[in-house]
Amino acid sequence: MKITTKFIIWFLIISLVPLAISIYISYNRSRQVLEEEVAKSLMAVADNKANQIEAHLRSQKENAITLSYYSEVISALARFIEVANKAGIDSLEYRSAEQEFKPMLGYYQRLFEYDDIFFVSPENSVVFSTAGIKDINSIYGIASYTDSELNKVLNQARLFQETALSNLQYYPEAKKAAIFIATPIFEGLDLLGYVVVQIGTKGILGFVKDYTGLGETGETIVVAKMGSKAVFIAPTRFDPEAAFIRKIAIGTSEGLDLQKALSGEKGLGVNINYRDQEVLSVWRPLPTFGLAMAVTMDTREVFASANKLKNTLFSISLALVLLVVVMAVLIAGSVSRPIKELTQTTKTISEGDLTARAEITGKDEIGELAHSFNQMTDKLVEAKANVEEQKRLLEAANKELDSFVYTVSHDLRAPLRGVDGLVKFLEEDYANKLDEQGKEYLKKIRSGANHMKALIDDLLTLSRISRIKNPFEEVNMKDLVDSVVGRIEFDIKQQNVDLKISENLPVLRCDKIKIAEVFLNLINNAIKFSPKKKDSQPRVEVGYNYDREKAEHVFFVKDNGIGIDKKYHSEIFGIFKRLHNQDEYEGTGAGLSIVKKIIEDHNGSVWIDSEPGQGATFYFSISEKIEQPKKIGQLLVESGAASQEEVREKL
Amino acid sequence: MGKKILVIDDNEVDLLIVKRYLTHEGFSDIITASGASEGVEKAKTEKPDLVISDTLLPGSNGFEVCRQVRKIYGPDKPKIIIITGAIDAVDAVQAKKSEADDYCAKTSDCAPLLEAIKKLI
Repeated sequence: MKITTKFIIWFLIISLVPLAISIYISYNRSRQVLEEEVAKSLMAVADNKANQIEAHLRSQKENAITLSYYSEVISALARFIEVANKAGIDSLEYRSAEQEFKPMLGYYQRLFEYDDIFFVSPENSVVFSTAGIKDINSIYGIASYTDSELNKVLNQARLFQETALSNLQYYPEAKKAAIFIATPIFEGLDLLGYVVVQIGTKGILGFVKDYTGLGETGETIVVAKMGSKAVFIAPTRFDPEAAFIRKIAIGTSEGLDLQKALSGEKGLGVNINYRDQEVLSVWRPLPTFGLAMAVTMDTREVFASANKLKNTLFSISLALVLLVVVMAVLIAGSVSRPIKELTQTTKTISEGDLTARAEITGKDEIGELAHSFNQMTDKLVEAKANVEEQKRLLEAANKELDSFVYTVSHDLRAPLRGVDGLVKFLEEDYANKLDEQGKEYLKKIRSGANHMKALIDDLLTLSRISRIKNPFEEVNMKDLVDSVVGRIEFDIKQQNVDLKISENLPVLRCDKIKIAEVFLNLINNAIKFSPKKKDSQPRVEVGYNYDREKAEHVFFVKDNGIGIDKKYHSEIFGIFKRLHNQDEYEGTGAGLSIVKKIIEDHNGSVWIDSEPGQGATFYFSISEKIEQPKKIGQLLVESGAASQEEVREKL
Repeated sequence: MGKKILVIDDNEVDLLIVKRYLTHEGFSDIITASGASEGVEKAKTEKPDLVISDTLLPGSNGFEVCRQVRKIYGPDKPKIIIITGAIDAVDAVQAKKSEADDYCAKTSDCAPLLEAIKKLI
């Protein structure tokens, strides 16, 4: 991950986690406070309204009782009952009574905000009404009906001899609801009649329609229990037609707040209202007339400020996130830019441009790093120059050595060639002029010269092998050994050698020319040191094994020759180390050191298993994992170490 | 055989040896030169059938001689063999480049040289 990205992520984590937590906490806290505020004010409004409505209703009830104690009211009652009984309500007397008492009674009716004040005879017949006796008889004539609310309240008043209240009842014909308060009036022990006041719902409308403190959606709902229903007795804010139309079935899950209030409970809660809105509701019972009310406000309004707060907080958070990201990018940039530049410089240098240097931007750790890096690069340049100088010197030395070797090979061999050639002329052209002794001397001269030539040749071969590395290639070892055998076919035939070459020789990567040299030397040795006895045939075997443990290819050349004593095993690979004198076996003793050198260049080793008279087995191994050695000097092929035949092929 | 052979070598003994083997092989018309310029001059005047030149010659070398002779006579005649006293056939490539017909090592018995000659003339 890039440094900038890391910075941004860490900055965000470090700053946003506490931010998110604090915003969450403050939001929750604020929301709670806001809700509490709203709930409190709603409760205050509800309590206030409940009190007002109750006070209004109570005063109406109390006034009704008070009214029945007024002597002028009692006189009026007595008069109307008497007139009604004697002359009927259509008589002149009744009209004159009406003229006498109606103004007074009408005054009280208006004063106490009653819908009506009327008198009822002990026989339950209405004898007077401020609203007009005809109307009341047509509408409330039900007074004589057993089951009417009016009848019930009258009977109750008579029975208990005290003021009685009816339930609220809706009267569709009058399109209004009414509560009747009946007070029995006694004359001595006899029931004179009843003073009844009719209270409507008009008086509470003012309270219901007062939306002070109720915001946009607050409303007051007043219900009365009628049968198994809770009936709205006043219009609501959003439904002017609600009065006596909307109903809540008691016992169901709707309007629970109002149901609870009807059963006398007070409370506060969230509810679904008649509009299917979620509302915060405060409910209160209105015990005077068995009513109940709820003051509600839509939760959407209640939580509006909380939501507003939420939005504000969200905007602030977003702004903070952006700010943090911008800051992170800036800071990350200021930290990572020098690192990036340094990285770029490193890349440039690693691609070979050693002139690139890091810019030192400050005195902080990164600045120090850049400084150290530059110092390191300076050293690198120095070291590289040094190495190149060394390489140049080495190449020069190598070239010099090449030319030295060339000169030696050329100039040292020339006189030897002369000696050998001239002695040969003597032997051939002057044979008859020399005695045996002279011929013997010449033979020794030639032998000496040839030995010296061989020594020079071997020395040069050894030096060449150390210096010149050929490219490794895939070599079929069987083919290689066959070609080597081809080169010494003459000797093999002449000495009648029984040569076996294993068929399982592998194909492996090596220096083809040098490995051929190894086989040539080992097979030549095997033939050379074969038993001298006339009757025994020299046997030579070339074989192969794979050493799984060491991951090495192991080759061997086995003979049935004279063998070598164990004490010489470690010595024979030394240069010019010979165990026999020149007369017995020809050679310089360089062969095995050449073999050793070549095999060591192939990460392998050479060893021998032999005892005197038991033959000898020379082993050599080539590691499976061999690295191409560094090339110094010319390739062997170009330098011409190839055989005479190969050179001829070239030409 | 009647073929004329020019041998160029600064080493007197080598000249002696080569001459002796060529004589033994039946070549009678043998001329020698001990330097490059002398060799080129003789090649021009004597018109030999075969030129044998050593690689190292004072102030020059056998390849240069080879090139100059080729310049005079063209690619086919005379045949040219370059001989070397070095142990390795280090100059084979160079010999090829200078359009020599063959290249071989000097030995005391001149065997490779004689073999090469037999192939060429």
